[in-house]
Amino acid sequence: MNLNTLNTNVKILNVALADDDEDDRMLFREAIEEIAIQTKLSTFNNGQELMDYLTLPNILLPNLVFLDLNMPIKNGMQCLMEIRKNPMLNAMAVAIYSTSSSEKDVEQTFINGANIYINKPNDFRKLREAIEKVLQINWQYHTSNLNRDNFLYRI
Amino acid sequence: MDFTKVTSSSKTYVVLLIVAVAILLFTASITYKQIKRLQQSADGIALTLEVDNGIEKLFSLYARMESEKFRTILLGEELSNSSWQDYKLASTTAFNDLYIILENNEVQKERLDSIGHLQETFYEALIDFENSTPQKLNRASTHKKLMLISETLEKIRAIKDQMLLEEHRVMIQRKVDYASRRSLTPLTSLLMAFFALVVFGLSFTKIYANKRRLRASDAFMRNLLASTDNIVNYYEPIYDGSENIVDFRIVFANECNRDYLGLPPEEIMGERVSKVFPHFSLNGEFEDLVRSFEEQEKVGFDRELSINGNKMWFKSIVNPVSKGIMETARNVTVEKEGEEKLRLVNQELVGQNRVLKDTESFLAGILQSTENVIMSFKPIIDDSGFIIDFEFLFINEQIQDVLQKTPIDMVGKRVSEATPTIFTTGVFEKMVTCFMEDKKMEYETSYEKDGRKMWFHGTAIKCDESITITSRDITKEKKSKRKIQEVNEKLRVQNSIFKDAENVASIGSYMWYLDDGSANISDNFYNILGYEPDSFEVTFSNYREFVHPDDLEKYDTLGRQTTENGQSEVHDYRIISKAGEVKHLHLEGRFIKRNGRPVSVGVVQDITNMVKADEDLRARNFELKRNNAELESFNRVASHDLQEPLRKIQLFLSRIDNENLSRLNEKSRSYLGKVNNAANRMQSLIRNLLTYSRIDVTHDDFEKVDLNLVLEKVEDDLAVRIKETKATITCEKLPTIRGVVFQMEQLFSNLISNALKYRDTKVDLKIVLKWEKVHREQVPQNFIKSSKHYHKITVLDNGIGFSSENSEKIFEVFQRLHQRTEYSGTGIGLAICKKIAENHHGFIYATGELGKGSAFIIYLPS
Amino acid sequence: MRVCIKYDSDFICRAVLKEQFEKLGIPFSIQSLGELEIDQNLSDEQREALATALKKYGIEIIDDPKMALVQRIKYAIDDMLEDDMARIQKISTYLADKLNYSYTYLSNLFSENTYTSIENFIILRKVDHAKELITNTDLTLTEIAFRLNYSSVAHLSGQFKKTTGLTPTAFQKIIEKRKQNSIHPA
Repeated sequence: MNLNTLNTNVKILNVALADDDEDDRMLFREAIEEIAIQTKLSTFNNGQELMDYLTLPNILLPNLVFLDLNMPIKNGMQCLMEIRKNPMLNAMAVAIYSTSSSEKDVEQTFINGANIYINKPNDFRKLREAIEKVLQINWQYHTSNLNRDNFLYRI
Repeated sequence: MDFTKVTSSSKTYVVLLIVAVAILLFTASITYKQIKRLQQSADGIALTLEVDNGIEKLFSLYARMESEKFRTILLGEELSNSSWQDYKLASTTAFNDLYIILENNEVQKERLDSIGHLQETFYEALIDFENSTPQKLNRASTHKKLMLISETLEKIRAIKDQMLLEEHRVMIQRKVDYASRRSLTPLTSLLMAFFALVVFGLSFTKIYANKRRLRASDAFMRNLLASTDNIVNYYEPIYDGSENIVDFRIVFANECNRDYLGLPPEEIMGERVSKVFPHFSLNGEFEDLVRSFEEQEKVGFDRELSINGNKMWFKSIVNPVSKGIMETARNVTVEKEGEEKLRLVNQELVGQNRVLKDTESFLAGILQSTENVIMSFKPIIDDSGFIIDFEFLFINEQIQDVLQKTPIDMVGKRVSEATPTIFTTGVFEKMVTCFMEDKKMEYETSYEKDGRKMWFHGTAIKCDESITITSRDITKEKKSKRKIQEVNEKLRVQNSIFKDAENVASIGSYMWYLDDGSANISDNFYNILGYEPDSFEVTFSNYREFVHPDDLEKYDTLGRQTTENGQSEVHDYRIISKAGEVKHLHLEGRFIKRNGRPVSVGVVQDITNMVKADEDLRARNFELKRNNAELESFNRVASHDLQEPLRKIQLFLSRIDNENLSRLNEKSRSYLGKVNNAANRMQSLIRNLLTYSRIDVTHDDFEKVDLNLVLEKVEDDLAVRIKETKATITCEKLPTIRGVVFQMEQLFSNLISNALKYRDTKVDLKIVLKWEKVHREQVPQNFIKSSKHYHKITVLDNGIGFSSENSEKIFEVFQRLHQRTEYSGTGIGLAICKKIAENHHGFIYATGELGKGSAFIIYLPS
Repeated sequence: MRVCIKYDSDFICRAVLKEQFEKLGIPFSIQSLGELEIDQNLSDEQREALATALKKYGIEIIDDPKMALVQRIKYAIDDMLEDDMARIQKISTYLADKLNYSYTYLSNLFSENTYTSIENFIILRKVDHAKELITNTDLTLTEIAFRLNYSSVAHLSGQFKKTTGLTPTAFQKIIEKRKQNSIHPA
């Protein structure tokens, strides 16, 4: 008889995206649907919407949350900090999905607990590849004995 | 007073005297001994005579006894027994006497003993003869008996003769002995005595002479003391009960005491020092006197005494002398004057000496002892009467120091040969003039020796048919003269600096009497106010008229606070000068009491320029801040708001996949391609601009950066393009610097991208990185060098290069040397490099040659 | 108040398993972590009860034999990385020997089920190990490279960068700053 101490039996990966840009949300969905890894994507128009959803009782928490940094009402950094402060949400992996390529932003988000940082590519193919890589590595962290404290990934 | 000085000669005489006494004693003892011996000799002679006597007496007794016996026998008469016995007794006594006398003479004693035996035999023979005679007169026996008697007697006589002979010999010997001693002894004694007498005589005369001389010198000393310019006093110590010196008594004082101190010596002699010279109790001088006396050492004082209102300087020396101390005080006042006079005389002499040196002609003794070069020349005159040369007639040894030539080398030679330089220095002309016009000529000339310039002052004098030149080395004089000139110049400059200092610094000073408000202000304070110095009287209230109307309140506060507390918290106010200029003044005052009046003294400084500069700076700062804020907002716009739509354009373009594209016609496809290119180009422009503007000058994030790792990463990032272009990158080991990692990455990335971009397609691209550490001094480029050492990193390539006139231009934003179609690029890359280098307190520049390649040199602080 | 704890997940897991199995009265023995040997056959009810009990602790019974094998490959890789001697062997040989399947089969199976290759997983594992060493020890990169059997620091750095998108130094800096800000994502 075989046992797995981790959540290996997740067949469908739960993914959330918070981005104020409609086009980006659309393209993200198109990209993620082209990827072999089975996912269920929920999108939110800004940080506040996302946080409101995440703090609802009795919901299935996403495995991975993509956060745009530059959003109205509640920006990505605020969401990140709230997620990392909340023990209920702390287990989620957080990916930053931003146009900013500023080193300062990258470092700051990592320090505040982001696991992944993706620069929004200007090419759809690149976008798909990036998302695929992120999902793969996130999968590994969720299905293997890897230390999620040290989960940092940048594309 | 005792001035006795035992001379060494009188010491000798004392020694001689002692020797003489010793000799006398010796002589006396010898004489005594001699006399003793003489007496012995005389005794010996007497003894001999006595022995002789005894012997004679004894034998005469024997002879008488024999004759007596014969007589009785012949006569036949009865010999009275008594007379025979008398004879016998007498002979025995004589024999015994003789024996006693000869007690010390063993030979004679032996002989005497044998006589003793023979005497017995004789007696027996005599008695036997006597007895036999009457009864039986036998002729033969009688004859026999007689023979025996006469034989015995004969033997005795022989011994007697021997004894006499012996005595005689002893006698002769003693006589000789005696005679010799008698003559020798008195002679030696006499000689000795004479010698002693001579010594006595000499000693006496010498000691007498000494004494006389002593007396003379004593008199001379006293005379000297009386006539000397110095005060000479002799003190003897006065002790207290416990043998401590409590004072000194003046035993002697010379006349100078009267002359200088007004103290008649006859009055002060015998007085106590403390009473006459109270100054001894000051400055521990008395202790010094005591020390001088007790430890027998010399003590000196230098002191000023005020006598009858005149101040005089004395230099005293205290000398311990036998039972006291002697003080000699010299009046230095006079001496100093004398010294000054002497110096003047000396100076005069020096002057005279110089004149002498110049005018005295040709004195051999002086010539060789002087330090000057002295030469004598004979002119050489040509047929037409012109002097064409000079010949050395004489030159002293000093020339050796100058020319390293001996006089022998020079004499007889021509000037043109030995010292041709005189023709070019004008000395020759002076010599000619001197000779022709019989005029004393002076000149100065220089001469190079061992690379040092030596200066000489020459004096030429005509002397019969020759000229004599005295040349003096004045190099040192010249030098000191020059130094004095320099010092004078410096002083002059300093003076003018001090003069101008107040003016230049726009500082004025003031003295403000707080009791009545009157004030004195410096010249430059007047200048600041726009007035001529001292053109009006300044008071607190009339000065107030200068104060700027808006600052009057401040000024009054200043006045009130200063008057009350001596100081004020107001330091700045404005004035309006005569010409109507508004001036900012800064003042620093200090409270003092002057002649019992409260005064505030201080300086005011015209700080108008500083205030204006400050205001300008503040305005510029404000401007800068606003610019910065604008720039920041621009950054935000550029980074997000501008990029977003662009990124969308690109994204959607990328969504038009091949299938969709193929449905479009050729033209539309090419338009779409152009849209794509333009969008890409715009993106890279925005990115580069952003990068450029983000390189800010904050250094909080400076950390250790290993440039090797940086280069590794850059090579990694550019791996694809490096592979494509088949470029080779060779790199020396690079240093670790302090900086911002991603900026360094950007820097190297841009430089290498640049090299890749502007490669020469005809040759394989080679990029070489070199590193060396250089000192600040070795960095020729002009930028602010805060560090002592710099890393010099050179990036070399063999690309298309650029012409050197563009080496500055390429670092400017949007400056391109090529058509966009030739080489893609935004024209910001190198500007970013420059900004990064400068941000790291470094410098970048480029050198290049068109068609050959380029070199980018980066200096970064070590 | 913050309390720091140190735990051994292996130990906890064994303790939990022991407690739950004993509760249900099922005798068992632990083969290796992730694999148990149960002497008797389990009834459906027993199985259901066990699954429910273990789920509370995040432990699941893997029914899919393929997934079970993937898990065994992962454990084998972990074992290999732990073991100095095993490390010198080729992965393919090691895994084939250990699991009694051909490497090609294992490799394909792994890729199909994990979205990555065995090779990539090993790299991921090694880099994860390197991260541990960077964050929890004072070892230098050179020492870490040596320990993890990298030929050079550059090799380690390169692989690290490729796998994480960050340099080891940047990673270390971020982790340190996180510690200062006490941010612990999990």
